[in-house]
Amino acid sequence: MDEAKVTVYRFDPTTDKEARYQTYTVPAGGWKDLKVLDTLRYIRQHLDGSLAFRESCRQYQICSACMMMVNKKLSLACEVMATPEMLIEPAANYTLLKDLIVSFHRSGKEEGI
Amino acid sequence: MNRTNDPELSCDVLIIGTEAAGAKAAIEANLAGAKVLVVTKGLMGRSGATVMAGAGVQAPLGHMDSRDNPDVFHLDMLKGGAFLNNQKLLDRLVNLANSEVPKLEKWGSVFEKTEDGKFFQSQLPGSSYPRTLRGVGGEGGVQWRKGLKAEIKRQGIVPMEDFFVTKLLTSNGEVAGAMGISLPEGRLVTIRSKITILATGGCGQLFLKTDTPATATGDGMALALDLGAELMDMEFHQFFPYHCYGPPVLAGFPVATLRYSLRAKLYNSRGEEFLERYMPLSKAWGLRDPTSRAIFIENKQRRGSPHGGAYMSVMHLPANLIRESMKFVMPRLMAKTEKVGFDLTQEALEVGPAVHYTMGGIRVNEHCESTVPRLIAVGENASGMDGAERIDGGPAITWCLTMGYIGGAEGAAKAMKLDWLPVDEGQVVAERDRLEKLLHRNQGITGFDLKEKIKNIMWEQCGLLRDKASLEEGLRLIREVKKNDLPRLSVPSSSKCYNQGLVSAIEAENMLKLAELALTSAGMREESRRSHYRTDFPVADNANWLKNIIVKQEDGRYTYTTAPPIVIKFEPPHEEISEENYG
Repeated sequence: MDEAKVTVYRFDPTTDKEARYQTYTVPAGGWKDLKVLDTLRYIRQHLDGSLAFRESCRQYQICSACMMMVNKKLSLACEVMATPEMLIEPAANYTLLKDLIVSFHRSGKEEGI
Repeated sequence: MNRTNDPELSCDVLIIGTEAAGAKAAIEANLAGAKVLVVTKGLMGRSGATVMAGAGVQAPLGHMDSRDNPDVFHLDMLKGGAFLNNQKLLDRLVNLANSEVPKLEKWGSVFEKTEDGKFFQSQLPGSSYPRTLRGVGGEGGVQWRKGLKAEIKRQGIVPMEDFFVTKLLTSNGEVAGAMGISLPEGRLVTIRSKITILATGGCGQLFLKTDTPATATGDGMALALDLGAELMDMEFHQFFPYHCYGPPVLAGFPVATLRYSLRAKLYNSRGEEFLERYMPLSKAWGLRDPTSRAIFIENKQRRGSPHGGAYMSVMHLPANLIRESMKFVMPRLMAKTEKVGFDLTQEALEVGPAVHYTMGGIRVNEHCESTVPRLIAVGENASGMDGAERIDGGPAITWCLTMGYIGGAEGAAKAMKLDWLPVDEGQVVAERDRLEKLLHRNQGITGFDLKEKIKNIMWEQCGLLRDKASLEEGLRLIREVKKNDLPRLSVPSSSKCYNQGLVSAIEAENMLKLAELALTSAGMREESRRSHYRTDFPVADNANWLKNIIVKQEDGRYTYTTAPPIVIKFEPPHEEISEENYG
């Protein structure tokens, strides 16, 4: 399979009344042998420049900026390998700010993986 | 951008950047009694390079070998940097290291200690004696983050996160504050400050292959350059040789500890331990740039690994020894390899070069002051500490802590004797209009695409092997981008909430400026010195090039000059400096 179907949670509080899911078709160069974060970068650069997500260390799997739900499992997007079918959602139980961006401050205490 | 409600914040000391250098500066400025505001374009502890620091942090405490002291540290840095370092600055930093580094322990960072309560220190390439203090569990950066975050919190400092500074404000040539975008709601905020400290890190993102964080786009350097501050040593970018190229499931994961702790061996595709051929003096235990170059050349000569690197293996050691030491020295790597089913006792990883650290940056004196009044630069944003190459084993964090101390404490003392400067509205209006226009230009080339272009040009033309032709071609391509692409730089969406297209466009503008400086400086330096290697001038030329290249912007143009490095303690050698003369 050369194309991946990537469904991403989208919500922009300045324009959207409610969240929606958007499915992107990603060619092999955007996901094969790559991490989920690489695929999101591909989508943002080539398919939809309005997508927002956090990233920093990109590959060290240490900063936890890219913590999110990959197929309903809390993950670091820079750790998990991309697959031909994925559902990407913001980290559950945190305040949603936009798309895959959440606030990690919760009742004064910061948490992470 | 909200036109009607641009709030104005004020502080004594504004610090841009929240990781080791910025956090330390904020702590010290706050302790000195200044009203501090510290901002970051990401989240504190979840951005920047500090948390990614693996090896440790250097301090010449001499706990493992009493012969070590600040002067030995100083000379090691000079040898590593091929004597381009600023000795006045460096002398302060090596002396402050012994007081500032151990403070992290009081703040909550957990170090590896010996049974008698001393700091465990290991010896990495470039150090005469064991000098690298290590975070427990082999994860230095996680421990430094822990201590710094705890102390920031203890002092009641609340960092302003998701705040991207786009401009420094001036008043008669002095820095008067900054403007930036509060990313959650796209509000443009004006900040008035008496002293401004830049701590935004390096610009490794200029290159295609890099292990630096996505945030390392050289913002602080570009902000300072725009004001007419001098930048220095912009041709020196460190190539780190142990970036994991494969297997894909481990690509990018930090694995250098295998080399530093277990002396992993590097092989080419013929099974040859090729490093000895390149570095006979150090018996293959050389600094980062010659090691990177060796891997790169082996690949050019078709002796590389499938992903373009070298094979890195610990299989010269017994399997039980590998497992046992990994448990203590690199538990995270051990867990990771187990999780993905990769057996280091049976197989080699593939590693290769990636840009890791920026030696160049804002030119500062021994008080970390830039050449623009009221503007301080600390950590990787500054230059002069490392010269032509930073040695292995954690001096980068040492500079963050010591320069953070100087910048924070001295900056606060200065600020409290100063008043805010008047800012003419014109600058504020002009910046607001610039950003407003950019936000609504939805057709053209995006920041994401522009960055990719710059990264490819820099990797191909200003990488590990440079020559006149490649550097001139690089400069031609960068100027073409400047002429054709920059005017049509665009933002894909006009949303005011977390507009990463806008951030990326501004970062790309910053990177474009720094790329031009790097290419021009590298073209001027007709010699090879550590990280800067010219195939057409393969040896160091002390007679002509024991100098720093300095650049600043004047009347919309970059002007380049050279100056000999500041020498106060150690005379540079007159003989030829060998590629691996590390003492």
